[in-house]
Amino acid sequence: MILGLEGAGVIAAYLGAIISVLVCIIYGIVNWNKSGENESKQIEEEIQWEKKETLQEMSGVKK
Amino acid sequence: MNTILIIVVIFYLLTTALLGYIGYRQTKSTADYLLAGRKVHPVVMAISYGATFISTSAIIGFGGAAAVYGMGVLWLTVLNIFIGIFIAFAIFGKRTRKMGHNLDAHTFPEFIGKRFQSPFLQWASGLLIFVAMPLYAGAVIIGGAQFITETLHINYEMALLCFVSIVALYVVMGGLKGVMYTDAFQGTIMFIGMALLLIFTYVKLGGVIKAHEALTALKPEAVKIFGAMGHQGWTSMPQAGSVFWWQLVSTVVMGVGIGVLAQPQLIVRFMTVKSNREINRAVLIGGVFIFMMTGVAFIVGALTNVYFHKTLGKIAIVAVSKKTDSIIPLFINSAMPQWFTAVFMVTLLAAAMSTLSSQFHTMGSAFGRDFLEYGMKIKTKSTILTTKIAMLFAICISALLAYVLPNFFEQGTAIIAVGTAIFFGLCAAAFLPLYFGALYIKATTRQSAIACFVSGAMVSAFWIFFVHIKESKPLGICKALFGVDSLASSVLLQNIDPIIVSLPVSILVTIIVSMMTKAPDKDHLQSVFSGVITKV
Repeated sequence: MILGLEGAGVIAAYLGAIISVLVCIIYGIVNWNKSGENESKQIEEEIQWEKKETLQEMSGVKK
Repeated sequence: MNTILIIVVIFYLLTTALLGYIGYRQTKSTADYLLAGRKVHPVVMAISYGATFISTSAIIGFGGAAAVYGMGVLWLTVLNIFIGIFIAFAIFGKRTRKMGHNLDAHTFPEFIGKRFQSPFLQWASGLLIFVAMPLYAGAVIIGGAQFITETLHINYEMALLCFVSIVALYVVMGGLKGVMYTDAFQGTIMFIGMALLLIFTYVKLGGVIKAHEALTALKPEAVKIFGAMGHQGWTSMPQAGSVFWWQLVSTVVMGVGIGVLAQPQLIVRFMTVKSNREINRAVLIGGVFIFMMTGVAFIVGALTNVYFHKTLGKIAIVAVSKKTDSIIPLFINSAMPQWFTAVFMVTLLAAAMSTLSSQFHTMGSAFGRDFLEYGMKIKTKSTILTTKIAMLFAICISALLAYVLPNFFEQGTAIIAVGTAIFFGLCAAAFLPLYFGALYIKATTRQSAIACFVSGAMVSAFWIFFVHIKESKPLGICKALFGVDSLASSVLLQNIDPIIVSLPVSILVTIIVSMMTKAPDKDHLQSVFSGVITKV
């Protein structure tokens, strides 16, 4: 009996839920600043996109 | 107690209204209305995703189920976190964001339609969402309105009208910004409410291990009542292959655990952040949030047996005369401090409103933008206006279902589980293989995506209406046509969730049709996958 729980299936589920949370926490911390390196490119893309969208909406043209 | 409750509810509603108004003021373009401007903060995105994911029935309904099945239901929490958050965000989310960007997609049907260059796929999936979702939304409305009825002692019709009107107002006016801002606030309340519930429950029962040991010691009670169905105590899994085991594994764990990956209202969240860095950060918040929701509901749900046995000499299901949905509310009312009842009431209200707001938004965008505008070529002054009109229409249908359905179903609660299961099952079978193919397998063809959608939806619908007794019996179509509740004669077959059958079929169909049809255009694939295959 672990943690007062009897069956192996339930012990695994209880610990599995806690481990899953820990995996999410560790993943988040390790990758906290990753994948943001292309930010300037992404912002540029966003600006282009917004311009396009505004033009479409102003002219009432929909794709 | 009433004064505390009124103050808490007023504060909650005013803050929700304010956030909805901020969303409305900040909405200027289609991207604002449908994708919250694509610059949402990772904390807001993660909590909004989690709060949409978790409805009142996830806490009350599944919490009650944990009181019956025991802590084995925690496998669903493992899947909710690992698949619903980790896999969904890190594996599906990042590619969805970038690809959605490349495709200039604003909704999930638009995403798959453009990815596979199939206008049919866009409008047909928009239509499927519009047809199947009102029942799911109706189920959430019924749950919320019944809860308000019982707590505030007002009649059901009044509760329904107030509940739907408030949510409709901030969703229609504020678009996805309104939805996500209010979700973040509502999610925070849910987090605090559930954290307190976990702490109070363990303290009340003498600590973590003592509480678990007391639950384990109740094994003879469980076996006495449910032993014939395969129950082996609340801290053990049911006997492998028994009816309880199949119900637990197929319906509870597989049905909802995997189904979450193909939910349009959740997938659209990935396209609301500006880079993959935000998604990385959201994994942390989302994982903790979901644990505090389903993990706590299931642990507390199972432990209510210890409390009721100590105080009433009965196990939970007997204490509530077999109404599983009443287990958690009865436990809160009898075991928790009075002020907490008010906090928990708002927690449940927030859970219902946050799920409902996204359903309204998804139905509106699917019907307005994807079906009417792209499929039927019906246009108004702007996409926002079309979506708003479609949304109001979808809201009326959902509210009407919520008004009518409780008259046909015993206590109205059966339909809550049915509505949710139908939507999850349909989406998983119709969308999951083609969504995965869209993101990861370049050889997935347009024809195979369409075949996946059609076969998944049809097999799911067949299993729901004619085989899976949990749905086929309350829906009554099988009985009307063939005179039986289920076409399957075996009890085991009647209890196998639709997803167990329909998902393998749609996966197989996708693979076979992909192998038989012409490979997709290389230039199109290049533009779709541009910048996608990068380090994560």
